[in-house]
Amino acid sequence: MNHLPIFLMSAISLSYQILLMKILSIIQWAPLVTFVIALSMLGYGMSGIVLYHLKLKLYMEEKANRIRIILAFLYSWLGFFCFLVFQKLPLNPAEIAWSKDQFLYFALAFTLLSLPTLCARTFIGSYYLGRKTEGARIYFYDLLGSGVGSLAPILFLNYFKVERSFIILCSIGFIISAFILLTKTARKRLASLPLFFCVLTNFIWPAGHLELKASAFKPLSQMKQFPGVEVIKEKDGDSTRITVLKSPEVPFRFVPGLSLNFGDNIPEQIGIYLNGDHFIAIDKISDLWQKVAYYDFTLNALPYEISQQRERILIIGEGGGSSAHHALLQGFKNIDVVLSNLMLVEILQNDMAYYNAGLFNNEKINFHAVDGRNFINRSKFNYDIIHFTLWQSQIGQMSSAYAVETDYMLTHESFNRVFDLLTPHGLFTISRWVSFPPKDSVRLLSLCVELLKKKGIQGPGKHLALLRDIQTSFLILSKAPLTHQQIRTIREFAKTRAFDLVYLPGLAKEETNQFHVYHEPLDFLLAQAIVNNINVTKTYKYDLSPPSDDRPFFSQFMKMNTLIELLRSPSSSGKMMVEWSHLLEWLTLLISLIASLFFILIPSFWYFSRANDKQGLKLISFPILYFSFLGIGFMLFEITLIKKFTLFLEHPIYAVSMVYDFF
Amino acid sequence: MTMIRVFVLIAAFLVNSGVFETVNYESQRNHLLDIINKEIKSLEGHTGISELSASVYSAIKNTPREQFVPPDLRPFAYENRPLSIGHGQTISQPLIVALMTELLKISPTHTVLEIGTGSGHQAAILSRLAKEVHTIEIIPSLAKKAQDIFQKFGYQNIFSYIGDGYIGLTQHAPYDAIIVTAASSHIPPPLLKQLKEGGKMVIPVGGAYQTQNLILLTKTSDGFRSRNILPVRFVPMVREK
Repeated sequence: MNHLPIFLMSAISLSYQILLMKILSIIQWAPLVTFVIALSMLGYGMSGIVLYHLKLKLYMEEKANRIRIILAFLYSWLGFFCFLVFQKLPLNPAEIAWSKDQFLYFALAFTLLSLPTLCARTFIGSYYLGRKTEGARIYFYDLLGSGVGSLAPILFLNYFKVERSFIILCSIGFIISAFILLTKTARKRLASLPLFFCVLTNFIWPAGHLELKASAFKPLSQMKQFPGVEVIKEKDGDSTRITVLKSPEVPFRFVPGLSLNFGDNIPEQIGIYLNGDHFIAIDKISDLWQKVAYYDFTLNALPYEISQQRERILIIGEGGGSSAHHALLQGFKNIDVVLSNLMLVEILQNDMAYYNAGLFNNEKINFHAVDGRNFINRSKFNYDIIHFTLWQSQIGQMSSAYAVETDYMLTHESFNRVFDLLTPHGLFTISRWVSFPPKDSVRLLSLCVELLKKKGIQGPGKHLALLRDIQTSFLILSKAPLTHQQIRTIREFAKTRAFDLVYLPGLAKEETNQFHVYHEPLDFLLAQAIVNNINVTKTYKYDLSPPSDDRPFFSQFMKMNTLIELLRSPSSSGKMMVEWSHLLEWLTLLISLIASLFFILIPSFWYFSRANDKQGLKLISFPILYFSFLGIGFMLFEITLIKKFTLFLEHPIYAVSMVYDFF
Repeated sequence: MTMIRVFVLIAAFLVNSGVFETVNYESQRNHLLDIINKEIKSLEGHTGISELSASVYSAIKNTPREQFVPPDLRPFAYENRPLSIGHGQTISQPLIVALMTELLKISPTHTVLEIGTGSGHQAAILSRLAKEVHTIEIIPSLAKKAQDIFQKFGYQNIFSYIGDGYIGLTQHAPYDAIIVTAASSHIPPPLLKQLKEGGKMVIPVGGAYQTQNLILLTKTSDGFRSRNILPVRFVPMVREK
């Protein structure tokens, strides 16, 4: 019982950080979670200063307990207060490149959100300082608490919404405060005060005060303004908030990259938002064998035109079921659908069964609620077609730990395994959003060329085709060289649906850039260079090198000098091309440095100079350097481990929880 | 003496609060047009446009942007950036407004359809170039605000509607030009149908929180041709206070 407060405080401090990651991904933008790691570290750092200031008092148990009571109380109080203020800040990551105000808002948010961690770590540090002989035991309870705290949000989110989980976990500080008052002081009556606050926050205070206010610029916020839009289900899971909507007055009509030659109607749809950002549409189907007109007018129809094999297909990252339904209509006997989000799987299989004619309960469709990479590593089947849908990356990216930005599906090792799973004439197809200037599709091509070369295949270009429509690109890697008939079919398919050919064996420049015209067919030129072994890495402004499991950052294209060039560009259009997740990383670093200077370094020097301790002032320089390097090493190790564990634990949020627990 | 101090303080407060301030919007507008022209020149490689045509230049010059901006944001009205108009919507960056207008090549006989009225600024500029502008907004409160502005400032050839822009407006179709200011997952087939042969459509394509591409689409006798103009980002740069 003596160490219960340490255990509890350690647990809620970890839970706070993990919940904060999830909250930021819901109300703001997922990459903001880099912030959480940095601000937690700031809280740790600042606690050192506070502990130094309090050290003499901490040696006396009675005074130390008073301080602990206040710290535990403050933890809860600041947890609520700082979050309420944070929600009022007009943060907008998209403005970083333009508005200096945003820097101040981010700095303020950073400092505010680090305060509960400051209280928690000072609280725990007070035990280490005050009870030096019990160091090992304190460390044990601290670690045990961290372990439980890293798991608690995952468990809580299965039963409560994020807001409620935050309130419960945050108010535990009041309980700790009351517990110490009851067990360690004579003023037991005072315990009623923190207990009152605990009851107030959990049962009396309207939860609406802490309701997450998503940014008005998030797609879900905007969609909710449309007339007649109705939320029919909202559910929080350990990694995602899923919101199911219907919009009878303004139908969703979500079909990325639909051919301009399509003139029919799009079926009625139900929309699903993941963390308020990523959208999935479910088509209304009254009969499973009902033909959906738009299927043949998207690039997804191409593999069925060039392959007659219909035994087994693997679809990774299914959106709302259109890919599986299309495969079913095409006559596939076995359709393996992999979707890593179990909550989404349950919604598609149960809640939406009435809407899509029980598509996902069909005997030919096998649903696998596992990570795609894990599935392909374990699969023992061979496939005629393996398709990575547009949603393959989004499903990974929508997690609250998007900051790590790893994508183990789009690496050399992953493609190597996919290639091995294909039947001798099998096709590997990938849909991606078009990026301009061309980056995404050409990096995919570069990944495939590298794979084919390493497999010892002569003439890798003979196995590849790359097309684009107005919004999406579509890459085909054929295990066998594409036949003349297949190449003819691809040409015809593109022509009749107004899709552009980017790469095809024997493709002439004049055949490209026909329908959705770029000023220059840069994607065609890059594709030609990559297939013909010309190194474009040095000359092109963006990094197109093939990612591997050791560098699983498919979506990072920006070279440092390109970033600087674009930021310096006087033209506003230059700034538009900046991948602003990079800016967020640099902004986090800058704010961390400034905050460390103000809250750690300057107070440290101030203490010594105030005491007129010149010797101490000199002496402190060495520990500062020592701890700075230790901190850098620690973070490099921690971030690397998060990335690595993402591969094994299948989900970034589990990796973050586990690594946080370790450290 | 005390009275003098109080007087000085009140005077200082009033001066500071801008009560006596007369903002010279016209010079700001001219300055903004210079910036736009410089940027248009720098983008010539992407857009094929070396400078704003006299008619578009004049239309922008004669359309006060401050009329369409929330009062709090008027000091920023002539900065080359989007501004929030509430409801998570924005008044587009002046450069993009100018570019989209220029791309449409509107003449005084044209009937134009705008999807996404927003603040009404784009429709107001188009109204100075075209015979008629029909504009549709899905959010009723925004549509109402824009309608009030059109009425107040006498934009008589703008016809404003509340409704679903995806299906367009069949009663006045076909249109010589269609301008879409809201990103969509694809180009709505009804809008393609409502475009005249030889007509042009500009539309941003891409999701929110992504860089979008500005597309210029032309309807020809044998189908459609679209041209990727440049990346754009329809995001707020200064929000409503």
